[in-house]
Amino acid sequence: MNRESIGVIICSCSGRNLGKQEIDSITQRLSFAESGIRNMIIETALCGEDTLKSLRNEVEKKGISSLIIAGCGAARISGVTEKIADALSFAPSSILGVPLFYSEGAESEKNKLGINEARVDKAVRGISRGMNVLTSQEPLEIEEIPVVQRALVIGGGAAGIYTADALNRFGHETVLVEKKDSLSDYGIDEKKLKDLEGVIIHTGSSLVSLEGSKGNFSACVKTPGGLEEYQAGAVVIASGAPVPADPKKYLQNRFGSSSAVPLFSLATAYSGLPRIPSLRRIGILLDLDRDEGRASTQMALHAAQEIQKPNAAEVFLFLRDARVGSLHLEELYDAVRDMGVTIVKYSGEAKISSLETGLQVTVQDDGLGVLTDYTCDLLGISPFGCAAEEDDPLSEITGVHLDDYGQFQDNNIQLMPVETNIPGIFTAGGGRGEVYSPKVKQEALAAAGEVHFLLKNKTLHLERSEAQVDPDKCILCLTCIRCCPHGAMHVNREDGVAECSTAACQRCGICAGECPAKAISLPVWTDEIVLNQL
Amino acid sequence: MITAVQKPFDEIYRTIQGYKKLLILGCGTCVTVCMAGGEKEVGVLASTIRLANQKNGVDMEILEDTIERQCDKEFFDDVKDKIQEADAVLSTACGVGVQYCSELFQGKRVIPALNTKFYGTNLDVGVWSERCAGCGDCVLEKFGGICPIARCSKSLLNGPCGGSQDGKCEVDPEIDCAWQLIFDRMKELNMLDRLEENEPIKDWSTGRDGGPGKIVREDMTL
Amino acid sequence: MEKKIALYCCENSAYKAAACLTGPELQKGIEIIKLPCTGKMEINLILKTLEQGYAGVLVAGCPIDNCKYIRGSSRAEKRIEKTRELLKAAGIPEQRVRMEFLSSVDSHKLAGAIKEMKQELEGVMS
Repeated sequence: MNRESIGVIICSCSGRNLGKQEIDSITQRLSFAESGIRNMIIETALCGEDTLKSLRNEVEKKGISSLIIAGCGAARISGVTEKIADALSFAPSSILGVPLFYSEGAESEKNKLGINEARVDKAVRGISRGMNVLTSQEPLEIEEIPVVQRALVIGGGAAGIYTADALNRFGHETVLVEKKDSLSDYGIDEKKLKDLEGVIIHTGSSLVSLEGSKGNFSACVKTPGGLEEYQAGAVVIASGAPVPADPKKYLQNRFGSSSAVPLFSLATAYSGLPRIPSLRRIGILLDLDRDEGRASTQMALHAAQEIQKPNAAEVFLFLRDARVGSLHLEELYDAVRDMGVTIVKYSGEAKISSLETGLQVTVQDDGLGVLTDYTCDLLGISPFGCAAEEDDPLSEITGVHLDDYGQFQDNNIQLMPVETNIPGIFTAGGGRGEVYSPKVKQEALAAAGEVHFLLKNKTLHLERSEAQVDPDKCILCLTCIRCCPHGAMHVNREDGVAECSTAACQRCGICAGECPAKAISLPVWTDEIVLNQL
Repeated sequence: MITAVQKPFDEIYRTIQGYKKLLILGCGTCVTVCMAGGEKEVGVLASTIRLANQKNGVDMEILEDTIERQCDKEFFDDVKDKIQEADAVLSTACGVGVQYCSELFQGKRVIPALNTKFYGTNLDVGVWSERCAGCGDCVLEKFGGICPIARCSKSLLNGPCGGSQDGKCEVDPEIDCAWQLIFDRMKELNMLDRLEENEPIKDWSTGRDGGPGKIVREDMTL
Repeated sequence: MEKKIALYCCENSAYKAAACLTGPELQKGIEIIKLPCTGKMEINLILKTLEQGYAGVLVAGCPIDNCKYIRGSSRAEKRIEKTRELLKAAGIPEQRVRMEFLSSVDSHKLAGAIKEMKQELEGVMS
């Protein structure tokens, strides 16, 4: 970009952070410096409402097509820069924010001309560097990509149904795919199932392939009637918690004992035990392979309550952490303790070994600080605490990472609640580890909201700032394709090189950092631009 | 593909001492793919040597360049001037490239920066595993596609030996016992009976043991 | 030139933390360079920075499990570790290169790392 078309805005924050003499000093130094800035705009309150109007006039009058905005740190954080970019219809890479790092008490550091030299220095340097960066950038095109007006939801459990229902109400064409022969009715009020009119539902079906990127996915669904192809703008994975398919069989195999039963059938198993005079000890175990949430605590407390009727049995509840973050759970927890249930908080792993009759649970007791053995006649283990037997094939098909527990979504706060590493693919419910009914519905609505937000813009306006692969240097070593966390790199078979998808690329530069042949660069972050900041 | 790893820095540093002008020459094919001697590694090596020289007060000019391959002469055209003006060339190519560069530029000192390792597959990012020993008479058809020469520590053709334990080799528990792999594969392919055939003594002269190799395709020569 | 530390910050976390650094001793002797993600950092860039005369390079980015781009921080961690090994093998103080993991509100953590690095550099540089 040429110097003439670059405008520099300096905001003095109503004169509080930069006085008139200081601004004059900055202006003078920048005009004579090599950066030779032509268009300087002085503002007092960039965050004000009226500023945009006057700014638009200035920008048009002077033929400015890119901006350096030097203002307080707050401006950056509060999104003033983005607001201005939007209002002026500037591409993201044409606006550079230069936060002027203000220190408190600078009044006392002013010299006798009323100028704080350190601040002026910092401003001049930051703006000059900004000029270096913008002048070494090529202006980038904006590509318009139409967004396919259809949403694909994988999973017909509570999460999937609530998501599909919400999307339907938003007016989006929705396809719901469920692998069992019918949709679930667990955790759903009746009405919802009837409301799914208009949603295209495929039961006994599964997703076999997914290509494309945000706004333009191509899905292939295997249905009892054959293969169905769908284009979709967004996908929601609501495939349910990765638990063993047959918990009863799984537990019996794993511990070699019929005394280990799934928690939800503990009460039945207990009532099936032959009557004997002495007290039974019944164990309930949570957090076996992974940390569990509120739904499990709720299930465990209810089971404990039911079994520990006065003198009916001695119930021991083993857990690493009691998730009682909701009023009724806290009350339930207190009630269970009052009944005489022993709650053993343990750390680390619980060891379970089979005895002649019953099981032995060995845990590191948090309170006592020692390894303690507990003999149980019966042990109810929560299936949600059991590691999945194998990885969900959807991960391989969609490219969405599984965390250590086999759940979609990497347990990364930047993604929560419903995003995944693939832009345009969201996840809700058991699939990401949430099985507590009130939260499941909440997440489903959040996922539907994200999809709606994506689909309501019929077109994506994307700046062509995605990773560029130099075809002469690319040796198709596949490193970028394997490393890209967002699935944005793929093989262009015709040209025999790697290629980046504009919609999926997040402009993070990981591929550029990895490429052994130095064939990849980000237009807005070339080595030159990065080092120019020094 | 050919795999190689970079020599330890102190070894490289020692061998380049005494030269006033050094050209570090990279290769853009195999050694770039195995992340040992491409343009990137050339840059890193050059910077590290410069920093070390600065610290040790060594006066040395470092030139850097990378060509497509160092096993075909045409690619050297772009850098022949640089090679001529340098006192020595530190080549980050495999052993083939280092030698060829030396051949093409008679009298020029060419120093290797890498240790060439094996023909292998890229299992995942940053992981390579040996698969072929270049024996010159491929017997993969007889062993279900698993090479007993390259993958068996003892290159047994009528294995396994007595040291195979839980599918691992007695030489190193990290190494899969090739004969376990062969047995499992042949079972899958319903070809176990083939393993009962005695494999005769191999003629090793078809490979390295027969002396330096040469291939001439009369139908292709100009 | 005056011995400075080049502070390479990812724009999602460290850059925001750096913006809140107050105190002249933290602002002097530091050059702040913005990156889209520390995953873009290359060993070459670090070494070139040292060649340009900078006393040290401090790379600051999101915590490993909370990188905005999932694995950028962990890729950077490996590269910085490799750089330190290289420097050590070349007889150059490895304390000149280091990496810090922090979120956008951890200015105090960044300040601590800068202070520590300045002290270490005084000890190893002549």
